[in-house]
Amino acid sequence: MEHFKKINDFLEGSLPSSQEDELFAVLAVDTSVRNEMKKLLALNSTFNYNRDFFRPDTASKSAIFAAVGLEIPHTGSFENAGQSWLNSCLQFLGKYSQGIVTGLTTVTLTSLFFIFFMLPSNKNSAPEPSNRATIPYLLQPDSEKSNSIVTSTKQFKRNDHITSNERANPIPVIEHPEKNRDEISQIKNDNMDENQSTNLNNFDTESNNELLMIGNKSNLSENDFYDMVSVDKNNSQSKLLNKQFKKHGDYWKGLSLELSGIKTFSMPQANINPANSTEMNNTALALLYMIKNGFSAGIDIRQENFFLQFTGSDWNGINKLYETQPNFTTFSALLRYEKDIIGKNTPIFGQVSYGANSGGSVGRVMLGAKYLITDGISIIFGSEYNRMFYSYQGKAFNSSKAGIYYGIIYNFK
Amino acid sequence: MRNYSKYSDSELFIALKENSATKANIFNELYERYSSMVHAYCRCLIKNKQDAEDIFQDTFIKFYNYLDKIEHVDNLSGYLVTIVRSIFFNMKRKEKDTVQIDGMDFSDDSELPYENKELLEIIIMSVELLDEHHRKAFILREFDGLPYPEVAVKCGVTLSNAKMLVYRAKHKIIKILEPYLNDVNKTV
Repeated sequence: MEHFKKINDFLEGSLPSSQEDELFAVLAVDTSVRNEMKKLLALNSTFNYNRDFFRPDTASKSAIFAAVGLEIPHTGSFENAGQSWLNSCLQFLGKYSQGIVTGLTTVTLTSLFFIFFMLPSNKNSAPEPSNRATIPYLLQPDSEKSNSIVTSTKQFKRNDHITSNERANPIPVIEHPEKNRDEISQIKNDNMDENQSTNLNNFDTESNNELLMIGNKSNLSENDFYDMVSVDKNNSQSKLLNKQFKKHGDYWKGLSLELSGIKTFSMPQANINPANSTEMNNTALALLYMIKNGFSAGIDIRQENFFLQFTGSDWNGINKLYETQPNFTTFSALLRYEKDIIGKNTPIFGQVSYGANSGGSVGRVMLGAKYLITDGISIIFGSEYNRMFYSYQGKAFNSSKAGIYYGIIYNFK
Repeated sequence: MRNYSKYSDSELFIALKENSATKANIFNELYERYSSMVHAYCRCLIKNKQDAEDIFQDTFIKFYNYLDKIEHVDNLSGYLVTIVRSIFFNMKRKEKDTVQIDGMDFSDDSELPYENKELLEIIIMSVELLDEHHRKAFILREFDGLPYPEVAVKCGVTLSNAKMLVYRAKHKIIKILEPYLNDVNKTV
């Protein structure tokens, strides 16, 4: 067998010259090897002499396709080039998928970090005076000085803060201290445009009460006013106002970090044990940002197992069934929608995610609920369905699993 | 266009039966895969070149037209060769000249020496005995004359594996043909 391979390589011109001498030496002394060479030569010469036997006319092909009512598929250079380019791209992505995913995740995390922690907010970037906080929506612009409530920060330019002129003209916040809250609301609505009204409506009850309390002190002097709004930790009113200010300058709001465990069951049931090669197996870490109206988007990293069952041929060309349950690190992008159906503290959510690991791509759907324990901490519980898509020797396969998802969420304030 | 070269004969056969949208592509792939072998077999079997061409065309047409009647094909090359034989014998019957394969005389064919033609025919028959992976690689390399890198791409294997498949196929064929080749060597 070994000599046969050498003879074959020699006849095909691919035997290294260093081995030619060795082959000739064996041929000189071994009759059986010489016979092997004769047989191979006979085989090769048969093909070489009959080369034109193997090439049917193109007219024959056209006749066959016409007879069966099919059109010969176009295999033009453009199409081949396109397919070749696509194959090259897919091969590149397959080869470097882990690196690409890691890179994209890093870029995403870095971008999020810069957006939420480093960049100044357009809404509130006012430098604070040494020991005083400004309350933009309580100030009156020079151009529109009147004895009405100023409710929109839009009337102030960025970096506005209290000037000496403004200090000299403190705003009597409410003209009618004797009026009750409903009447005041009516006044607000009558005097403000839609945007202003919207902004006011965003105030929580506590803040409105605070405004009323300030309004009752109708003849505030400058010092009184600043005493009210200065950052004094011992003053409960100041705390509330300061809190109101901070809400508008909060870069963290909407961001949440989620650490979860997963218990999954392969579909069909796995008949081999999973590879538990990592410390954090069946664990997920997700970073989400609440975009709008219950929609959140984020990224997710997860250690997990998939039971892979696929067929392929070994290098002898024998078809085999392979079964394995390796451990993967999967990076996903996710989109979540939540709605307060049961109660304010128990939103129900639906989630879809799609990502990739070193074996292929993974899609998931999830349905569950959150429960708000404290202001910043929630627990999460849900059920999920996962499907992984992968290929082996050019054939596509997929693997499914379902399971439960449980974890804890920290909501940034 | 999808790359069908990575699919097995059985998969393509099933797809050809079921998928009307891509029939032309699938049939084209099977044609490209076995046309050279079937053509060579036709040329070996039939003296007249034009008759050989006719039988070659009829083989693929019959294969396509009888798709619905065929349940499953394990060995497509063997099936195509069987169709060639069937057409050939029917043609001979129509000519009212019963001919048996054992009694056929190829010696009046001026194109090739008898031994070469006979050996080629036997090789084609022995190719049917190879498993699909070896057969595909062998046909691409020896019948279609493709270089190894192209064989590797069409078989969906690495270059070294493609070489190995062809080399093992040759080795198996020589083992199958050993009695015949020994006789040839003795006479030479």
